[in-house]
Amino acid sequence: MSAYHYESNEHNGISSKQQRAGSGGYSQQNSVDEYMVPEEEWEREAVLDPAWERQQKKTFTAWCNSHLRKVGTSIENIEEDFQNGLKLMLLLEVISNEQLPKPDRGRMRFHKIANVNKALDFIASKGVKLMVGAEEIVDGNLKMTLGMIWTIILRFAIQDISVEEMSAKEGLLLWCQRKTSPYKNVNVQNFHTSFKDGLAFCALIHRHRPDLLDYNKLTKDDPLTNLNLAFDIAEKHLDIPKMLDAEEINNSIKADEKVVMTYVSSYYHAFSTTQKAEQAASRICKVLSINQENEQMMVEYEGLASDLLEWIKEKRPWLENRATDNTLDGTQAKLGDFRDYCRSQKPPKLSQKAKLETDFNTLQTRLRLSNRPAFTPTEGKLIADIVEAWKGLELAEKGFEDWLLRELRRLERLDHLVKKFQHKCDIHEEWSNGKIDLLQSTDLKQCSLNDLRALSRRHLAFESDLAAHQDRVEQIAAIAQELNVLGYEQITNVNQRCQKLCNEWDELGDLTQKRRLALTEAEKIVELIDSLFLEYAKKAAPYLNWLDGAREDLIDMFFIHTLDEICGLIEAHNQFKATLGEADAEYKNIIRLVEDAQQKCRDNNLDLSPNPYTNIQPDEITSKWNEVQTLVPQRDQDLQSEYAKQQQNERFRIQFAQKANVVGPWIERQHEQLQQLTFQVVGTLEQHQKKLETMELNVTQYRPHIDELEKYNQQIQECMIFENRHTPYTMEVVRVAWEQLHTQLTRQIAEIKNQIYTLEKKGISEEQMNEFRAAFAHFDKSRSRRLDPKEFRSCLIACGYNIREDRQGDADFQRIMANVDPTHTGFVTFESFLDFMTRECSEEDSVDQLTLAFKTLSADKPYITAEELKRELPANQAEWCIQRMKPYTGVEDVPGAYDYKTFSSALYGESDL
Amino acid sequence: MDYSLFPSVPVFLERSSLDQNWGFRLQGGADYRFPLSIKKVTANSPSHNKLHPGDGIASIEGQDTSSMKHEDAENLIRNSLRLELTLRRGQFSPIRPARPPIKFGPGPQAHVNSALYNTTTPNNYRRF
Repeated sequence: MSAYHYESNEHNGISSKQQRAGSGGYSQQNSVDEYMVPEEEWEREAVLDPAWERQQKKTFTAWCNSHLRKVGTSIENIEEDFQNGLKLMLLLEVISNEQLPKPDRGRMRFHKIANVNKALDFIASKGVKLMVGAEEIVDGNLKMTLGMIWTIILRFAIQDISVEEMSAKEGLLLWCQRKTSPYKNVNVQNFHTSFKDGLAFCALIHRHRPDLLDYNKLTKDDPLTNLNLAFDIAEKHLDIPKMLDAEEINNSIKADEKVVMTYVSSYYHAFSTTQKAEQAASRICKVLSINQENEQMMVEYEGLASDLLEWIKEKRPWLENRATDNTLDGTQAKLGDFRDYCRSQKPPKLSQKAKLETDFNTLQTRLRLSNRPAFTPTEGKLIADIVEAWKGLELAEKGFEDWLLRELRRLERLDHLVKKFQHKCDIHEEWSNGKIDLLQSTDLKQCSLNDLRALSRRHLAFESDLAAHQDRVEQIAAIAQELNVLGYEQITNVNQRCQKLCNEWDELGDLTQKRRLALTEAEKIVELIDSLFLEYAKKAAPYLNWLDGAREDLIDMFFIHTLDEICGLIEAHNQFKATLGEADAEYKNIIRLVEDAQQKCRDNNLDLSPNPYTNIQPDEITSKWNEVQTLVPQRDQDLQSEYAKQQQNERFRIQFAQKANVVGPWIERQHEQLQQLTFQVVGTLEQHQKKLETMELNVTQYRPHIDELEKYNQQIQECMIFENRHTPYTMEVVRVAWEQLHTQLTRQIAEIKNQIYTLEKKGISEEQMNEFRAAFAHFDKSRSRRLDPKEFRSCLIACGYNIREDRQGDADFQRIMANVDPTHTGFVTFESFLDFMTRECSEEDSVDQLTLAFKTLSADKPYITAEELKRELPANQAEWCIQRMKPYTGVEDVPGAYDYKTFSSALYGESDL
Repeated sequence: MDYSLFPSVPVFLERSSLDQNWGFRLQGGADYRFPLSIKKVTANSPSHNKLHPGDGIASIEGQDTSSMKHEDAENLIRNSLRLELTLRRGQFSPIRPARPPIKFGPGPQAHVNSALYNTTTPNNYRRF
């Protein structure tokens, strides 16, 4: 506390009197500069407080060296080392980042003066008026040299600190106040006493780098420790050399504010660099994370697409294979597999396909919104390829079920026909057996006239018998023909048997003809006829024939599908039963004839000779009549059980139809509702999305009804029911409508989500969105949810675009079309319209911003090192960059340097050439 | 697209060494589903005043670009001292609205019908 310090109450240690008296001095001119506060005057003649001079010398030297070290040099003695002007010019080049004129190389005084003048001219060119002369610097005038350096510090280190357009000094002061305001015991009001206890320095450090010191442990009562702590940390961690002496700051009542300002300004620059680096790093992280997410989405898309295509490839041959194994069981099993495919294999794949489509659109929207190039999937995995493959699958699937059912029907009919064929053949062969031998017998040669007559009659009877069999043979041939048409597997056996039968039939015809002629010849001689036997013979043959027919009819198998048919059969059978009484009477007639003959023989003690008119024995008639009587009730039973079965089938049909008639209209209503929601957005997009999601939930919850219907359908198929006139809906129709509903709903939700995403990303208000929507809808006359070029052009004009009706207008419009419809579909969707209308406001040169951010991180180098990347970015993003960046190949060959420029433009699909 | 609307301009560029940049930024390509075009031109470079932002590139060294990938175009351009391009002048220059758009909203009673206010009043104008 000496008088010496008291005197220093006046600024710069110069009395105010002297200041005012001084004329033509350095100070008046200098004070004109706006960044120079009027008090900051430098009186040429005045004496500088020696303590302040010592402080300034130390601080300014350290400040100069903190810049000169960047070019590998330094000064030791401030008034001597700037004398030749060379280091002064170097200092100015470093701090201004500009080139000064080439210095003169000579060692003569005038060379030195010239160089110093070049430096002074440069300072003057920055709008600073200096009253210092080159000679004073060359002569090593300490006071003038310090004055000049202060001017440089003020101009280059402090002037650019202007917070809210205040003077440079106030700006720096305001910065300190803002940064230290949360700290107790610190109140920065000036650049001398406020910094005396060191706490202000510590607070500034802690505010920006809380890791470097624990502010709470500091106390106001230990200024020396505080000051030294701050100076040490600044030197060690912030690369700011010690410019002040702790003791001197602490001991002086009021330190020189120029030295404190100089030192504080170094803090400001150190921290603003850190802050800029942090901003740059966070900008890069943002950009990188978008690219990483997009890449992840692309990988997922590719995986999903491969899976789906693989599955389709695997399923197609199976659906396309229409080879039959000709067995009912095999075909039934195939039908079962197909049901499983429809119900449990295909639905998840359909969802996968829908997801793939929506993922793809979402990804493209994201890419477009973040100005990234569009995503092109690898060859063969485009959406179009997926759609194509899926179409192929559905084409293969179409008709597969129909074919299976047709095949089932065919096999069943074959089974039935073969049995019928064999049965008829058996009966016929039984009848025809031995007939040829009989016809060929030569008995008539040795016969009496009587016998001949009998033979003739007998042959007559045979002829009518033969005629009666004509029908059956024709039936057999017809069945064989149908079996051929239906492609029966063992058709050769059938054909052989049929051929043999027909040949025999023809032969029989021929032989009969021949025999008839022979008999007619002989008949003229034959007269005697046994009337009784004759009558028997007449009756027996047709009766037996009737019996054969009845036996055949009674075990005839039926093949029917409706209640009407079975009713018809029952009716026919009842009619047949009604004739049984008559048949019984006829039977008794015939038997009585035999019994009468026997009675006559017995009466006359004669042996009964064989009936010459017929081979039919009464026993045969009796046994066949008995057989018919047993067959009748059996037939009754068969018909009744078939009737019951048809009734059950009808119940199944109605069960299916009732359910289908509920499910079908329900799905149709959902379709209508969805259609409405597609064309109208009422309320906010989020509300709309909610509506769609509610609908999706309803649809999902409705699934059990579909499953129930599937169950009824299976029942119907298992019962071989092919028609159902109670409902217009078939299972296939319901399935397709259901799948369509599901797909469209999913797509609609994704579209709305994309619009919401666009809304958020572009920061468009809901109101603006609605205006775009209304404009689009106004021109979408066809309600197709896209505009053709003509409509789009009118829409643009309405939206304020000046597109004239001439060549220039056409060219402008073509340009816009290329933008909104890059793939030349000839249409503009709402999404691309929206994107176009909002692109203009959000467009920015993203590549340059990113490049700039990297430049900041690399401390203005044209390349960046792995260490810098790892230091500034989170580990995974740094690694991501290192893997993708190319080595830097600039003028300087630096090992381990990376090219961030090419990398930045590549992220946006651009390249600098 | 009717290309006749955009004048075809042949351009010839030269540089002294491969280290010197042509001075333009390329964007697009068949793989990016956007035509190859000029995004930006650096002042005082070989491209200065010859290429302009928004120019479409129709051919490079006589090769048609319509199915050219970005990387292929880049390689063609990067490895030569002389470069022959055919440009479509101004094909992709941005066009901005010249006047405020016509409103398609419901008009003065917007606050009644607007979806923003979530009223249940039925909409009597067309909506998308």
